[in-house]
Amino acid sequence: MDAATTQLIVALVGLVIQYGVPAVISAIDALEKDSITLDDLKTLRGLIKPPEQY
Amino acid sequence: MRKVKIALLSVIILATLVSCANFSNNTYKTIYIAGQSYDLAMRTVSELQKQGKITAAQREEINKYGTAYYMAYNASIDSLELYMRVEDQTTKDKVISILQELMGKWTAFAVYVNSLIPNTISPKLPKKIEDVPTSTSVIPK
Repeated sequence: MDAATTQLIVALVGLVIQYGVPAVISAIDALEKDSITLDDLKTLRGLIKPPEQY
Repeated sequence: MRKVKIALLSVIILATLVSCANFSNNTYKTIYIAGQSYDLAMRTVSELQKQGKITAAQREEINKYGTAYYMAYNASIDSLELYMRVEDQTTKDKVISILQELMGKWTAFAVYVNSLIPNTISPKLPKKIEDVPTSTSVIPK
């Protein structure tokens, strides 16, 4: 296993710890999209909240 | 803190694994990463406040920077939506301009948070958004 692969695995594990598996799968799906539609923009709108809601 | 850095790193890595398809796609991914970065940063801020490392007054100031970023983020989505409907050069330029503004808001937000607790947030957004050029000529449609 090379250093880049190890780094990727460590990073993915970190993301899973932080967000959970469904969130990581969702992120991978979003970033793997070949083409986007106007419906996909709804995902972006729902991604974050105003600061006072955190 | 370490978790935050690892998670941000992972988002960057995931982003670099994605091939560039077209302007709308790249913009979508850029905004997605910008959203994830903000979400993670605000969760961190909230956690730090719970730990007593950020005061209510400081949090209020952070929220001002966060609100500016939140508004720029939504403006970037609006501009992308418009671009996807009309697909003209003027709208494309507007999208790029708003993304650059979003970068600036992020830096201001990160600089303030880091002035309270050093090295909490990266002052630059992950790779994809930094790749937004100042000229539209190099962006494939």
